[in-house]
This record gives sequence, C-alpha cells and structure tokens, in this order.
Amino acid sequence: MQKEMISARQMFCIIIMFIFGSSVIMGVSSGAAQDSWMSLLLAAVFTVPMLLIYARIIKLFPEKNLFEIIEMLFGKIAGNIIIILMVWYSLHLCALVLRNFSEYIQIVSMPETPQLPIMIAMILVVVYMAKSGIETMGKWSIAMLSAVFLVVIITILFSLNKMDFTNILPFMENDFKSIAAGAFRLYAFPFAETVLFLCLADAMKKKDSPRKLYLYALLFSTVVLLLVILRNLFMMGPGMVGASYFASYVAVKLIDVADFFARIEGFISMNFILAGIIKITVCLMAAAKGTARLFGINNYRKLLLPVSLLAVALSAIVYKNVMEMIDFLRFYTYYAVPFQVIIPLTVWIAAEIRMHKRKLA
Amino acid sequence: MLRRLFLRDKQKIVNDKVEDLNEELENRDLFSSLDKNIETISKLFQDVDILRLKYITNNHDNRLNYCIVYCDGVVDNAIVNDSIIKPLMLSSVPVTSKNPVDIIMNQIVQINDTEKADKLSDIAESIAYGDTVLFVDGAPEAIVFNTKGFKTRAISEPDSEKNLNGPREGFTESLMMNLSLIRRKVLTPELKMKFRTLGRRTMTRACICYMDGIVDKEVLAELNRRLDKIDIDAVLDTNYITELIRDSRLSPFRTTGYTERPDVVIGKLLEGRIAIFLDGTPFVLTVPYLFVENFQSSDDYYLNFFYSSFSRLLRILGFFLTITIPGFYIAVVAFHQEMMPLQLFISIAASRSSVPLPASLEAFIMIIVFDILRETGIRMPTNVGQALSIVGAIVIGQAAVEAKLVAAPMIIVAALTGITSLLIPKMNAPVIYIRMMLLILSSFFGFFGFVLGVAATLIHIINLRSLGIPQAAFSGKLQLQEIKDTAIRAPWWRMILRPSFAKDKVRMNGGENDHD
Amino acid sequence: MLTTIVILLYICVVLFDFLPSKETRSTKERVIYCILLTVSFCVLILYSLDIKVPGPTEPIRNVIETLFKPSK
Repeated sequence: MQKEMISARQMFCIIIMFIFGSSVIMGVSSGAAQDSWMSLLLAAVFTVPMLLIYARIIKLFPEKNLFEIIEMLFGKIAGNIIIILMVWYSLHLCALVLRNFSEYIQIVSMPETPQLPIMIAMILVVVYMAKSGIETMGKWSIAMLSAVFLVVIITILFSLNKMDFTNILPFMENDFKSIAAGAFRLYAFPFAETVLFLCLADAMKKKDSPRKLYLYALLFSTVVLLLVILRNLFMMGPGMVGASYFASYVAVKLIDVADFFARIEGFISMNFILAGIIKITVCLMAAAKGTARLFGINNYRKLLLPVSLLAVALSAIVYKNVMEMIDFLRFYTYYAVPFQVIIPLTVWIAAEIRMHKRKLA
Repeated sequence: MLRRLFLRDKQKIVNDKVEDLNEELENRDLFSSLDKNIETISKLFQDVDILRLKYITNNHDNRLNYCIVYCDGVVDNAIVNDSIIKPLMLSSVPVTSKNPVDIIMNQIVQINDTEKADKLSDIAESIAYGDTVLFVDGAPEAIVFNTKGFKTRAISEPDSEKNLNGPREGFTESLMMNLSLIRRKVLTPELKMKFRTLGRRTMTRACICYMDGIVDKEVLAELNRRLDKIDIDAVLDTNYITELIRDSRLSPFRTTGYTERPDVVIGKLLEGRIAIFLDGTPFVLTVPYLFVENFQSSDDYYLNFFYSSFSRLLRILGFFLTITIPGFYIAVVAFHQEMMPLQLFISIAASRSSVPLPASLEAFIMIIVFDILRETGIRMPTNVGQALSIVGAIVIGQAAVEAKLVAAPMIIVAALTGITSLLIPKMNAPVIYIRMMLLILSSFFGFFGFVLGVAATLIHIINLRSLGIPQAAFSGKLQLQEIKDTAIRAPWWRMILRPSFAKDKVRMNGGENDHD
Repeated sequence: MLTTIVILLYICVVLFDFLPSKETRSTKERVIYCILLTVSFCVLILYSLDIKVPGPTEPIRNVIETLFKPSK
C-alpha cells in the first residue's frame, strides 16, 4: 500500500479542527467563572512544553508513527503493553467525543430520537472519511476549516449588540488556585489530546518542521477559542457560562439582529458536527492503527469498521446520562495524565537516551 | 455473489463463441485460386445481400482474371468504376505471375490508399467498412482499396453546446471527418493520432489524440492500459468507454469530459489532456477530467472575462443551491422552525396548515414531479420543450396549491431547485442523487443529517479520481494560480501556466510584461 | 426498535464489508475482525435491550477519587 503523505498545511488544518473538536460548542468553562479566559491562556502556556516534546519525538523519528517508535524503543513485550494503553486511550476518547456529540444533538434538536441512530449516522461518515485516507481528511479540513471559522466570526459579529463587556469584571476575583485548576482542566481537554497526532505522524513529510506546525496550530486555535469564550462570557455572564452544559449554544441563542437573524443556534451545530467529525476520525484512526500494529496486520483500513463499532458500543455504555458526562470532566483531567504526559515523556526520554548512545557509538 | 458466478458463465459462453468466430477467420488463409477465394468470401457473407462480386478480365491479356468484392451503398461507385474497374480492364501493363499484386497495386490501379491483405478477418472488416477488395487469380494475397463513400451528416452546430461567440462547427459521426476538423486547427506534427479498435463484434475504430510535448506520458500509458482491458462485444458510443475506464465504479460524478466541438477538444489537448474519438458518435471524450470542468463552458473563453467570471461563479452557486435547497428547507421547516424570521414562519405555517402531507413527503413528491416534467421536456422535439416543461410544472404546481394539496412555499422550492439545476447541465446525474440523499437525511435527522450529508458529499468529491489523478485538489494555497481558471476566468494575458498534470507547464512566456 | 436497528446494521456491515473482501484478507485479519465485531455486537444488543452493561467510568472515578481529591 502506498504510504499516504500530507502537506504541512493540511496537517495544520487537521490539528486545528481537532482542537476545536468539542470545545467550540461545549465552551471552555471552568471553575474560574469570569476569569476562564485567563485559564485558557494559562492552559495554552502549559501546553507549550508538552507540544515541544511531541514535536521532538516526531523529529527524532521522521515518518514513523508512535506505535512504531514504541516498538523500536521498548521491544516487543513492554512496547505492546504501552501500545495497548494508547489504543485504549484513543478508543475511550473516541467514545467520549461520540457520546458528547450525540448528547448534544439529542438535547438540542431531537429530544425524542434515541441516541443510537445518531451515533451510528455519525460513525458511518467518520468511517467513510477514515477509509478514504488521511490525504482526503487533510483536503477536507482545509475546505471545512474556513467554514467553521466563518461561522464563529459571524456569530461574534452578530452578537456584538448584545454583549455586555463588564461581564469579565471583577478581574482576578478568584484566587490563582482556581484559575490554575481551570487551566489544568483546559490543558487536558482539549489541548493535550493532540498526543494522538503522534499516532498519525507517519503521514508528515520529513522536511516539515513539526514544532512550527504544532506551535502555529496552538496559537491559531487559542486565539479562536479565546474569542469564543470571551463571546460567551460577554453575552451570558459567568454564572450562566458555568451552569450550562453547552455554553456556546446558549450564547448563540441570544443573538438577535434586526429581528431577522434570531435563534440561529441550530446553525452552530454545523460547527460541532464538522469539527467533531475530524476529532472522532483522528481518534478512530489512531485506535485502528494501534490495533493493527498489535495484531501484526499491516493495513489498518481493514479494521476500521469493527473498531468504530467498538467505539459506538463503548460510547453507549460509558455514561448513564448527560450530567454524568459533564461531571466526568473533572476526573478526566487526572485520568488522562498518564496518556498525555507520562507515556510521551517516557518515550521522549528513551528516545533521547538512545540518540545519545548512538552518538557516542 | 451467486449471481455474479451465473453471469460469468454466460459471458464466457458469448466470449467463446465470438473467439471461435474470430479464430476461424484468422486461421483461414487465402488460396491462390480465385474461385476458391471467392467461394470462401461468398460463404462468409452468405445472407449479406448487399455484397457485390464483379469479375473483370483484362482487355489485352485474357489470362488476367480479377474479382472485386464490395458492399453496395458503402462504397463510392464513381471511384470503383473509374479508378479500379477501368484501369484493370484497359491496362496494357504486363502482369507477371511472380508478383502480380505489387504490379497491380503500384502500376495499374489508380487509387491513393491501397494495402495488401492476406488475413480473412482483416478482409472481412474492410469489406464491411466500405473498402473494395481485389482478388487476383494466382496470388494468395488480396488488395484492399479505400473507396469509402458512405453519406454522413453535414457539419453543423451541435445542439447540446450552443455558443454565443466563437466557432459553430461540431463533430459528426464519421471518424475521419472529425479528425480532419481538429487536424486543421493544429498545424504542427505535435498533434498525435493513434488508432485502435474496440469491441469484439463491432470492431469499432477509435482514435487517441494528444499533443506530444505537453501530455504526461504516465497518464497516456494508464489510459492505454485501461483501454486494453476493455472486453465487451460492442462499443457504440463514447459513454461505453467512459464507464469501462472509470476509476470509481459507483460514483455518479463524471470522470471523463465529453464535448461535441472541435475548439473545445483542441483547448483541452493543449492543456495536456488526451482526447478519445470513436467512429459513429460525435461525442469525444477528454481525459483526465477535473472537477472544475463541470463548471466550465467553452463560451467562457470567447467572451469578456468579467462576464465569464461572473457566469462561472453563478454556476458554482447553482450547483450548491440545487443540491442544498430542498434539504435545507425541510430541515428548517420540519425541525428547526425557530431559525426562520417570525414573519416568514407565520406565512409558511399558514400555508402549510391546510396541507395533508408532512413536509418531507411533500418535498419528495414535488421534486419527483418536477423531474418528470423536465425529463418529458427533453424528449420533446422542439427547442422550446425544456422551457415549456418548466412553465408547465409551475402551472401545475399553482393548481396544486389552489387545490390545497401542496403548500405554496414548496412550489417555490421545487421551482428554484429545478431552475438552478439548469445552470450546470453537465452535472444533472450526480445532482439528482445527492439532492435526494440530502433530502432523505434532512427528513430523518434534521439539520444534523443535512450537515452530515454535505460532509459526506464533500468527502466523496475529494475522493474522485480521473485516470488516477485526483479531481479536486484542495491544496490550500490561496495563490492566484489556483483560481485563475476555476472560480473565475482570468484574462488570457494572465494565464501563463498550464494545469498541474501537464508536463510542459509554461503556456506563454511572460505574457504580462507585454501589456500594462 | 433499537434492537432491530442494531441487527440490521451488523447485517449490513457483514454483507458490505466482510464478505466482499474474502479474497484479499488473510485468516488472521478475518479472525480479528470477527472477534471485534462480536464484542461490539454483544454490548450493543445488551444496551438496546436496556440491560445494564458495566462501563469504564465507575472504576476510573473510584480510582481517581481515592488517589486525588478533584475539586468541583
């Protein structure tokens, strides 16, 4: 099978859509209420060292994905254990996002439809995208990123007349501890989930610098997410933002321009759907690649359908209701640490040691 | 799967039969005796009553016996009489029995296009096509003369691609005439034309044309590979070829361009594409095909570029609208009523209150009715047929509204859909299916289904390939080069480079420096 | 209702994805495919019949709560 390669620009758009993923709708609220935007900025700063580590790993092993690197560094047995952990993480994340998504659709547009058909419809499109390969995903993200970005800008422009700029005052009312806690939560969801791109790194060309890619993507998405959270705060005030499940949705509900563009919140489901497709596809591809590696199958595309159905099954059983889903976020922050921090750190240290040994030899 | 096995056996039987026939013809050699050869030919063409045999004996040498075989109606009788029969009868050139065929070919018969033939299959093919075959007593070879004189349609403007400015020539059903139309436009020997035959039973002539220095040889090799794989008993129209060399078998989108006009073909050849001509059809294929070609028309290059850019944008908009309008309408009216402005909502609700059907079913029925009326309009003999059918559809729609069967906004939606689909005639096939799919998804899942459908359609379009080359290349580079001939039509002094799949990228040398 | 959808879905998956590629897949791939398909099928059938299947959330919550004390 021909190796799939995508250009840096396409990867850039995929990473941004991935980071937007669920955050552009679920809002980026945290316990810090009106200082959430500071948590966001702090989270972005937190992420930079980890991103540098991810980029370094990609740089040290050009055109190889994470699973191949792990196997090379740790051998068969220990490597397989780590691969199983990463596969579990990507599968679980896939299920979580899928569940996020179907809860949102059910609550927002179709309260009487059971969630399973929604999940199935979504996963079928995701499987179609994943089967078409990562190049298609790259081109698609370029096309759709403009659409998503445009919708965000339009909603911000339309909501200008309803914004109350004093909503972010008083400044720094919350102590630094809660801002930091909020930042930690934002770091885990969504920024550090980009660890999954290490699993797709074999599509990046050798000459592209992963560091520049990651950092620019982080910058761009932070700016947009900042705009989103500021819009939410200005429109609704910190209380509402903290209390609603889907903050952006509630914010857009309030838009009313000349009595004509009112209640256009159905429209921003479009954002979530498009970004969600990319996020779920990336997680699915990572899980499928890992599974294929575990069992020694060299073409991961053949396993896409069963892995995707496994993700659907998992997302059906993972939460009982939407409140549990929102509540899980505070546990997710800690639960994701081994996968987002510890495993990449270990891989990086092992890689550096090996490079060092090789240089000495 | 069982069905496939079944058909495979049947196909094998047909193939075997045809192969036997062909083998029979191939293996039979010609005899030296005139009588035996004529007997073979008569038996082969038994029950073909237009076959004519004419025995000729030379005036000066009674031992020279010839027989010409031809099919009446396909040959030009004047040439047969004046250039073949007359010289053969009257010539006094001695014909030795050592090499009679060469002498006859080179010295006696006065025809410009002659060939020797000794295989029965070739001879049969030539007789059927309009050539005259001469059998000489005492020679195991026959001579084939080109005496084709069948009537073809005169060159006229093609009905399907009308032009406001620009040439009004169109291709006809004769391969040679079509080739002559483009041969005259490119006066360098770079324009190559390679013949081949397609179809086991029909042995239709096809011609592959390309510009030698511009075309990508890989693409040419791939095309030849695929044409070699075609194994069907008849190729009657270029559409057969299109479907047999497809990349993705189940996509409704086109993977080859087709046109009836020589200027369009030359334009595409000069961009590095390859043209496939087929005898018997005026439609010529061009490969590889890019997605933007769906929105291009040759008119664009002959008219002012401001106007053409606008028309092109209008076409792209038309494509988008015709696919999304019904789905979007249903999503809003049936699921997200709050998205409409209040006044609009009230008027739509008022008109829908007396209608018996649910919105999605209504939309479905209206679109199908509209398509039925449009389809009948195409089959009507006059040009006004299409316009007439649309007007008819709207009138019927109005009557339905007054009978309170259908809501008025639905008529507008269906009419808009139909009218915007006329902007892009090349895409009427995919548009129907995608529109239906989006409509069904919207009916089940509302706006969510609609967006999923649009996303899936985009994935499909990105996946399309024509002869291995991706049809839609979103490289993300917002360079002017990428949109010069796609979304807009840049003026000619700006179009310096060719599309990326051509080998010789430079079309013009620094054209922009010559004007300011 | 949901059960029918699940069964239909799996039949479609087997028909359109599993059977056509009989020639191109090795035995190992088909076995893995079947195993994964069966696992997800069982879980989804149980879910559609409203039988509670234990999810991974409970154990994770317990572990995280004992180790750290996550704030609200």
